[in-house]
Order: sequence, then structure tokens, then C-alpha cells
Amino acid sequence: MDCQKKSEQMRERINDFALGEVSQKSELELPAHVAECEACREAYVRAKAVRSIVDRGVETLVAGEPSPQFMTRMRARIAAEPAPKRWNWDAWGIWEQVSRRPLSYALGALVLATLLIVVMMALPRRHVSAPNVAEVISTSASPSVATDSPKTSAIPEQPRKKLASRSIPSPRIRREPEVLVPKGELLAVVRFYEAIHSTTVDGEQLYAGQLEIQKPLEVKPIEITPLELLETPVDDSDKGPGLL
Amino acid sequence: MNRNPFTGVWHSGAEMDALAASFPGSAVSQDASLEREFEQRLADCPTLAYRVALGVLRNTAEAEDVAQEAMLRAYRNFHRLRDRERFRSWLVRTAWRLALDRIRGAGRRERREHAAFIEGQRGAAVENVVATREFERHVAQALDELPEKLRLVMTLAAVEGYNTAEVAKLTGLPEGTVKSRLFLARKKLAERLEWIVKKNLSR
Repeated sequence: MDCQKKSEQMRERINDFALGEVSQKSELELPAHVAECEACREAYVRAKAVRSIVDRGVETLVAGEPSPQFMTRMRARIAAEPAPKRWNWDAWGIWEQVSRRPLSYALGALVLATLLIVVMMALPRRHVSAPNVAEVISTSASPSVATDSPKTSAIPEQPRKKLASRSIPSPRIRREPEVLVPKGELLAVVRFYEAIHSTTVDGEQLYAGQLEIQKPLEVKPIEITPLELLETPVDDSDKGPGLL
Repeated sequence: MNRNPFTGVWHSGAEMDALAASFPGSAVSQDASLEREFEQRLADCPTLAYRVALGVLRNTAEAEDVAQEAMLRAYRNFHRLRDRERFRSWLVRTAWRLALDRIRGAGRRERREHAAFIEGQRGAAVENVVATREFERHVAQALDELPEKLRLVMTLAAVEGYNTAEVAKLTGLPEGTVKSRLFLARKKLAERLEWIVKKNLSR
């Protein structure tokens, strides 16, 4: 069988096969075909020769041994190095120190733990579930608190939006709610807030605070005086051209 | 009272080491065994590192420098390279990287040893084709133009006598990947060197 003319593709396959292509199909089909077809056998032998030349060409590039002085110099460089490190999980010798005086270290650890507990307890505790002041005000206080024109604001509008968009992982780090309070009623709101959060809640005080907030804003009537034409005395001694 | 007769034996070096290592406070003997193991690696691995470096640098003196540097680094990290295969694989990668760094860093490409090549000695025989320095130079150029993955596999295959299993161990790649990379490298080299091979084979 001569397939040289009919199949350029076959020659390509034979070439790849000779160069070491990994393919189950080629491994099964091509050896038998090459055994039968003279032209393909010739192509195969030629491709094998090319492969051999390429392989040996690369081999010549990496052939050779290091010079006899190589090992002498190698040993001299190794001798100048410190001994190879062993794997040591307790590189700083901490466990070794501890195991020598276990009682002392245990006592020290106990003292440290006690100190830590004392410090933690002494730290001021934040109200984890503090009531939302804005909600309290909007439900119990007068609507004037929420609807009046804002005169004081702790944080401008833009950063507030950013804060709101953040995910808050824990209530412990939750920010206090921001409340817009008219200047005149700031003191009352503060008192009201303190009353809510103080451990001794006084009902009367709370009520007084509420009343104070509920007071409507006092708006002084604006007096508008009508415009009056004032007569300006004309000085005759003025030599310049007068306006009138 | 122990009535058993005294049965003393001379232990071999390895047995003595094992015995000494079993005692507490055996740091010294462990260090000694480390040294001995490294001596074994020193006996059979420098050639591997040298050839890998030579495959990149093509300069014997520089390849020796790189091989020594790689061995020295292996010595410093020997506590985690005690396994032979791991050591060889690590050494090959280090030598390859150091050689590439050296060639990139100093632009030594031009100073390689293939400047003077011998004309002649051309014939139809494969041996003659390969023997020519001109061909060697062309192979070197073609090899340098291969992508790094293919170049590493081709170089290591040449070092290891085209044993794909060994190359797979050294590179940590599956053997099938090594075979396919080797095929691609050969194909590219054959395409690149086709004209010179044909010219020589036809004579």
C-alpha cells in the first residue's frame, strides 16, 4: 500500500509519532501501517533520524563532567559553612527553659492570667444593647425633634451614608445613632438619654425630660420696621457739585 | 544476678549510629549522620547540577560556579532535603534558576563558548552531523528559543538519557506531561533545525 500521495496528513502523523507523540490511536495504528507501507516506512525512518540528531545535539550541550578541582573547592566552601541545621521546633529553647523550672513558670503564668482578668474587669464596659435613641425620640418625644430643621449634626451627610453601607460584624463596635437635635433642645435630649441609660431611672426625671422636649420651639416674632426716609442735612459750604 | 553470658558484638557504623540516636542527648550523632548523608549526595549529585547549569550557560566555569552555589544552598537546607529524590529535584530546580538568573543578570549570552565552531566534518552519518560545532551552535540557539517549560524538560531529558520517568521525578510533573512536553520540544527543535539536518542527511 502506498499512501504517500493521498495523505499528507498521514506523513504528519508518522512524523509526530517518530518524534514521540503520545497518542493511543497512533500507537495502535501506525506501527502496523508503517510495516506495510514502504513510503511511510521511509518517512518514519527519516523522522527517527531527525529525532536522533536533535536529541544528540541537545545531549552534546549538556555533556561533560565538572573539573577535578570542583570537589576540592566544594569541600572548602562547605567547610567554611556552619554545620547544617537540624529541624528544631523549639529553636529558641523556650520549652527547655520551661521544663527546667516548671513551678516558677506556672506561678508566673497564673499571676499574668490574674492580672489580665483584673485589667479586663476594670475596663469600662460599653452598653452592648443600648436602646436606639433615635427610635426612642421618634416614638416618645415631640415630632419637632425629628422634623425641625437640622442645626447641629455630628457627621456630614456623605460619610453617614458610607457608615450605613458598612457591614457591622458585632454589636460591640456599633456606633451610637446620630440624632439631629435643635440647638435649644440639646440639653434636654442629653438629660433624657442619661436618664435612660443610668442605672437609677427616675420616672419623674424621665417625665420632666420628656416634657421639656415636647415644649414647642419658641419663635420670637420678627419685628419689621417700615423703611423711613431720613432727611440728610445739606451742607452749603460744600463747594463740590451736590447730589441733590 | 544476671546469669546470661556476655555476648558482645561489634556494631557496624550504621548500627552504632542508630544505637547512639536512640539515647537521649543524641544531637552530636544526628549531626554526624546528617554530614554523612550529605557526603553521599555530594558524591553523586554535583554532576547533575553542573549539567543542568551547563545546559543554560554553555560555559564550563560558570556552570561549575552555579553547581557549587546550588550544592551550598542544598547543604544549608539539608535538614529538609534528606530524602534523595527530594534532594535531587530541589537541586535541579535551584541550579536551573541560578543559571537563568546569571544569564539574565549579566547578559552573558554572547560570551558563550560556541563562538568558534569548526567547519567541515560534514557527512551523511548522524555522528558527523552532530559532531560539527556549527550544528551545536544552531541547536543551542534553537534550545534557547524554546519556552522555558519545554526547555527544562528537554534539557533534563538529555541529562538523564531521555528517561521520562526520571525527568518526571525531577520536575514533579506527571510522566504523561513530560512525554508531551518532550514531544513538543522535539517538534519545535526539528522544525527549527530541519534545513540543516536535511542538508547533512542528503549528502
